[in-house]
Amino acid sequence: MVRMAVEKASLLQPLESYEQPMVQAALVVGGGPAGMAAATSLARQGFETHLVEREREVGGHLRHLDQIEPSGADAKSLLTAMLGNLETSGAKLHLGTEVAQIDGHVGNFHARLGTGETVEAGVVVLAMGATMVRPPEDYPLRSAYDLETVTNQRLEEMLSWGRVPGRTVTLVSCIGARSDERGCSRYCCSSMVGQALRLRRMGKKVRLLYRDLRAYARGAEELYRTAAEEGVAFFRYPDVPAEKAVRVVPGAVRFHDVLLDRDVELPTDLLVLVCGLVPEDPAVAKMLKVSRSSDGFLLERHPKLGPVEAGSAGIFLAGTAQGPKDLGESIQQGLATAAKAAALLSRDTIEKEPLCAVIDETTCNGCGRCVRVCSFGALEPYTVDEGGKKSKKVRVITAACMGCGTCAADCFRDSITTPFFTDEQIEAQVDAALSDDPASKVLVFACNWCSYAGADQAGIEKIQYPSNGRIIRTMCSGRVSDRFIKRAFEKGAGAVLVTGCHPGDCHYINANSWTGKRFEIWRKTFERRGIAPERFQLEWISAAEGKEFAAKMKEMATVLRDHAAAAPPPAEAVSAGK
Amino acid sequence: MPESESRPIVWSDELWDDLLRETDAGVCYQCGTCTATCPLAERGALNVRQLIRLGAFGSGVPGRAVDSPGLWSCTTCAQCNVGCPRGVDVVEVVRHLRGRAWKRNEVPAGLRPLLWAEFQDGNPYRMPPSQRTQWMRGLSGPAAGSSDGASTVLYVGCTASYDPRAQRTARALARLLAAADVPFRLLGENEVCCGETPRALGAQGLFRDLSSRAAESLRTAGATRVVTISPHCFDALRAGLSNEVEVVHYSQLLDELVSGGKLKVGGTPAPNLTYHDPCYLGRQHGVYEAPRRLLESTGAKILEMPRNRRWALCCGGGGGNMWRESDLEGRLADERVTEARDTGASVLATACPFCITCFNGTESAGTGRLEVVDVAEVVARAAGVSSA
Ligand code: SF4
Ligand code: SF4
Repeated sequence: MVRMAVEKASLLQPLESYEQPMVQAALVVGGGPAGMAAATSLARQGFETHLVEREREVGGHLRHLDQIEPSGADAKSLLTAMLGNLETSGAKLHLGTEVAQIDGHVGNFHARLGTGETVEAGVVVLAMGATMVRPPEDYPLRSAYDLETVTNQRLEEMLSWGRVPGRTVTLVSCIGARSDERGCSRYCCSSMVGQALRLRRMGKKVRLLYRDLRAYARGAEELYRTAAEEGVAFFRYPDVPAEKAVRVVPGAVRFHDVLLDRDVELPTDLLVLVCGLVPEDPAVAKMLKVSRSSDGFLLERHPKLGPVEAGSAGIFLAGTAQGPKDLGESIQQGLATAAKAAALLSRDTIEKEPLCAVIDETTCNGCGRCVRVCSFGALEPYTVDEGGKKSKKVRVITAACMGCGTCAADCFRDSITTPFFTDEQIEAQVDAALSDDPASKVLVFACNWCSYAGADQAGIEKIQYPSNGRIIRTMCSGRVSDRFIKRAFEKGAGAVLVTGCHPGDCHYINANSWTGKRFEIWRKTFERRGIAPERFQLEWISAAEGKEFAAKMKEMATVLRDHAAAAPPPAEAVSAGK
Repeated sequence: MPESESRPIVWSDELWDDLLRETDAGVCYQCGTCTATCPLAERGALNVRQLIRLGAFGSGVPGRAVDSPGLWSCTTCAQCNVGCPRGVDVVEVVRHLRGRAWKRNEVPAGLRPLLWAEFQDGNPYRMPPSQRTQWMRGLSGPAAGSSDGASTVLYVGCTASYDPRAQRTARALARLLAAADVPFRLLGENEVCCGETPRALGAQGLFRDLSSRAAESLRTAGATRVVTISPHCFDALRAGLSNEVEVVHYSQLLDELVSGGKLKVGGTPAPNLTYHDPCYLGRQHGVYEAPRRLLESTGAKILEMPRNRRWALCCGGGGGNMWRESDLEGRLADERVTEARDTGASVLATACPFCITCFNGTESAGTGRLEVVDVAEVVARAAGVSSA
């Protein structure tokens, strides 16, 4: 492993970072609590700040709240205070309009609003929020059932008027949340416990049906205890979506009480569906090519290392647009994006990491394969006139290039160099890794963001796995080219494992989808050349999947053992197919 | 599947509110720690966690609660209270549910005559009040409670009044008090049951009635301090009397007397012994050390059982179970006596007449190898007064 690092180091070239101008203005999309917090903070630091809100008023969901749980604080006063801060901050509000069109890159974004105005900004904060899920159509809630059904949002309104119909109220949690791809909506447990307590204090008979109670905010556990003490009855329904677990019958709600292991019936006048959050329309995010996670919320660059940044530089994510959270967390995230954005805006130029791809104009024949695979539109075909002979070429828009290297792996003419991850450097690592007893080695290609971090995680969790893996890091699995794999098998590698982020989680939007497509082709090719499919595999491993990484490495070790039992195909067999 | 199983049970807001009014069952989050520690649950007799929850369910018939299996097996030992992370007084819930069953006339056979006896005779043994002083055979002078004007009353309790074995304990204690020059009086025929059994059985009305009768005779006697022999009387009088009268268990008083030098102990040291914490003295009222200090003052060495103090196994006699045929497979007392013997002790000392009765009723006790005695009797021997 040391040898691998040394070999690579011996080929390193000093790289030069470069600078480009920064438009010192911020665009905040969405005027809920997160957007308001971000815009207020940025404007107060003296940056030109534009806040675009679709509604005629800012405030988002906060406008419809009566009390904020678990503290029980008055929502209207908080909104008034936040609004006051925003108005005096100097931020320019664009209300009742949307971002119709947006493009550009860090330092230089151009947006056109629905009103026709244009906004130039160096950074963008996406805080479009989330919407409450609509209760499923097939939920049998009609008045025919002799009980009234409302959502928790509607109940909040009723509570603010102080008038709620019915004597017996049953709240059901997790409607539309925690099913399929969707996770916990986080805001609702504390909120519904607070609502239940308010109902109880109005003299109602209150029952709360939960799947799990996740009242985790500061003061939430105390609120839960108070609600229980004052007589809110809590029930646990089975660990399946509420729609399946809780049935409505005339005048009552029925379910299987997990803790009693019996079917129970709760006579009910008013049924409250506590609804989860679903992502807002992602149009703006799509135009900016911000990735989304499998549940549809905007995906941060890294859960720990870049929690409020999008994959592309200069774009920040705040509030429930990035994932369900409660009010306090949304505001915190809004403020965090402001701090991150301000760090960029405080300089009049920005320095770019020098990982940007470089195209050798003399060898490029302008075939355009690379243009097709770039997720950032950073490659641009053009024509040169060489003494009367017109020829096609491709060039790199350095400001847009994120340095994933996916283009380099697709260039037939090896015209593209990705600094710090050049073909020569990676091949030197391959050679070094396999210089000794190659048949016993598993060569692993791991991307910087997910699978390399996943391997790291296995170490952090102190999980034991075979020591015969040799890891080569690239920025993205898209950088992995078939020439590395061929080289590895020529050198007699026992096995090769290509790893990357899970589909949809790629930190270069969807560059790893190319890895997947290429792999399908390579596998067939190498199989024809006598490489058994078990010896050449692809596995998606996230930064959190230390266990999965270790398990895969164990599996690969078994593959090697079995392979060693049978005679290894001679290296020439591979080269022969050249 | 039986019909009753397939039909859902129906939540009753009325029963729930009823439960909340008298108990803190509302904060129970059904973790099951109580069931995990309950000695009866271990024997399959009772699932106390479910009992708490079922307490608010009706059977679908208005006003009818769902059956609470095992409700009457509970010995009110309060082991469940020890571990509850929410601080629920589970025993309170049991008493409440039993009280509800009384109101609906759903009680096991045998308990009804018991309460009639309490009501009519003022004791659970159906004995006439005139025989309350029988235990005093052989006592005279101060030991017979003849100190006029004394403000301390020795509250003998029904068991020590009528049960021949417990009478010995009462006599030993009376002699000890006299030896320490503690003037005391007895209520004699005017003593009535403290009402602990009705209370544990959920007959709240009868309990209140008996308490007020007890309070009345204490007032007439001019008592400011009551010393009880049974931890059950100790508990019930504490719960039933207003605080104008101080209620102490005899072990606390003797402990004070010995450490204050008023009572001299130290004849022949008692052999190796072990001590069993009565539930109503230990867990219910936190008196763990006074009886131990007393035993040690006699020069005895206490060989502790693995389950001691907060984790002492119940003898099985509380909660009305002295008057009920046990439906348990193995009796708690048998297990406890075995545990006591395994310490290597030859004497099992305790401080409750119910515990002594239960232990003496086991097959393995009384075989000559393990003597079951009351702490008062151990102290009496060491102080050189008769313990017979
Ligand atoms: S231990 Fe306490 S909280 Fe847990 S189930 Fe029993 S009573 Fe309820
Ligand atoms: S008091 Fe004792 S017997 Fe009754 S439920 Fe609690 S632990 Fe079980």
